[in-house]
Amino acid sequence: MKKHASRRFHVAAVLILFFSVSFLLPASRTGDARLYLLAAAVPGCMLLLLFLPSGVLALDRPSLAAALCLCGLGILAPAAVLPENALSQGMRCLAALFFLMAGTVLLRLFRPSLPVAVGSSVCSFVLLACPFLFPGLDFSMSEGGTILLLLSVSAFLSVRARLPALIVSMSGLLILLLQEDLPSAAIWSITCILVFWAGSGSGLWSGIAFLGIGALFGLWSVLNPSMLAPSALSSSFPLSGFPVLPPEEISEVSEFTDSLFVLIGKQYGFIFLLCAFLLLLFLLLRGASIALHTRKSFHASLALGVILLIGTRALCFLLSLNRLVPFPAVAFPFLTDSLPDLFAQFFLLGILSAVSAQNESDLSEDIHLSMITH
Amino acid sequence: MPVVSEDIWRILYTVSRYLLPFLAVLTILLIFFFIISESRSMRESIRRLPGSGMVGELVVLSDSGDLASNTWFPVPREGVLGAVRSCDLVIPCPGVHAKHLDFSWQDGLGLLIHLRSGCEALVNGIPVTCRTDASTIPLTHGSVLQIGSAVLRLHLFAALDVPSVSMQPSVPYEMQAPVQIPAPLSCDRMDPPMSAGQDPSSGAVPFSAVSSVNVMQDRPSVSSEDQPEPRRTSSLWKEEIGE
Repeated sequence: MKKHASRRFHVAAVLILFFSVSFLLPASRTGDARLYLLAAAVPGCMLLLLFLPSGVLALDRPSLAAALCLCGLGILAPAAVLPENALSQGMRCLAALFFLMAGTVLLRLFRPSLPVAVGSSVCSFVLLACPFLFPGLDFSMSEGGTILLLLSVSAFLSVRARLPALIVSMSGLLILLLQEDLPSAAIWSITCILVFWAGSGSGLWSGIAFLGIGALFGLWSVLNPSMLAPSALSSSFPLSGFPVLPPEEISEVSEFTDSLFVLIGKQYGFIFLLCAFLLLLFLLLRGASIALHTRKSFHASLALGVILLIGTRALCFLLSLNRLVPFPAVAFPFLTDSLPDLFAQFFLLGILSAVSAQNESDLSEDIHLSMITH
Repeated sequence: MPVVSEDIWRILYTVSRYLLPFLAVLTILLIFFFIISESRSMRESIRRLPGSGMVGELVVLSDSGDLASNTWFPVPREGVLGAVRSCDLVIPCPGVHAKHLDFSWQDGLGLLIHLRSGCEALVNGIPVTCRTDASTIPLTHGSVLQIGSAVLRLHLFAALDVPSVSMQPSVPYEMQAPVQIPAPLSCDRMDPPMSAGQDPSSGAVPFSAVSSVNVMQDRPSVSSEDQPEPRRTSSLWKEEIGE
């Protein structure tokens, strides 16, 4: 325990030092109060979350450290040239932290059963169909709907209701395709097939899911051939360079149009891009470890679904960035300025934290029971 | 807000060109080690508690296929039983399908089995198929499951919220006489779970191995003074852990 606390202290110390220096450097040149505020607030929030007592809110510290570091990079990316955007990104991340807690609390209350699975699937359909139900809505609810779909499919699979799980996942995919949200549809498809494979323990059901998804995509591509044209992506960025280039040497960034990932590449170079990738990889590895140690199939398929949703999004981002898939670019996980996406990703992290807390609770109960007998 | 002079800023900038990448790499390494150490700690805890996460064990009652009598299998809360290695419980016996049945533990009810299509089993001599409602025939302590040529008795660990059943002496199971269903043992006769920190590599016999041997023997009465410590009922367990 002491060893873990020590490691956590080291991680927190380095994170605080890194982000303090990163924000203070441009702040000391321009004297911008917003940068000084960020230099205090970003490390402060990280410190608070990493050392929050586990009794208050059971958070999985390793995955949280990786996600917070990614978010910090997202705030840092526009800080040198567009401090107001950095501040607004910081506010978005702060708001998203409430969804982290919401995800944790929801999973503690969630008990997999048929009525609950049906209820969550209805909620997911409503969220996914928001663009049809409320045409004036200017933000996407696809990610939130996909998370509820994952919850309902995992609940159905845990009570061995495979056919309803298949019907719900196919219906969700159909709605995503009807609203022409191709990246979300692709992410959900890959997640769905692998969750079916893991959750049902049978290749037959994942094969049926694969065929169903293939049929839906085939039908959709026949009806909408124009949607598969390669889209224009953001301009290429240098894969080498030095961190914290002076403002006069930074390439022209007049608007906040580039993705945060591209901004990091433009301003801080290859090392920081590699760090972002590695952080996400560590997060996925931690998620896989949590999924392997679960005792209930519901938690296992849910944790697997969470890492698949995040990992597939990163994969889609890479593929779309290199124009290998006919998608519009999706944002890198946790490095996005889209509020719904950020909320959804923190919600997923909250679910992962709750599963991890359940694992630890089960293990500590076993240890306790063993100790009171001897 | 304070602004440093151009010269000082140049110096700071030059330092930060090397400091920030160093800190970034250090952060990555520390987070990596943090994740590895947490996972290792979890694995270590599980290794020290070999019965952790298990609800009981299935003990082979008669030689069949590759299975010798008295062989025991730890039973997790949920999983698949079959003949292939990918299953949670691998029973390599004639008549056992690659994936024969799914099982799941339900508090207050017992171990529910869900047979896969085309598979059959006998629970305490009663035939079960994939169409049978699993909740009507839960496996409890002492229940006998026959799959193909394998005959297995379920032995639940203590401290599980299992229904109380009347205490009856252990009766050897007879395959040819399904009417004589061996009555399940009482919760009072359950053994305590494994001790903390018990290392299987140290040569100590795990609790589950001891208890599986005990099942096969005609054990003396529960009130025997030879018992190392008094047996606990489920309710006593709950009192002790403060529930």
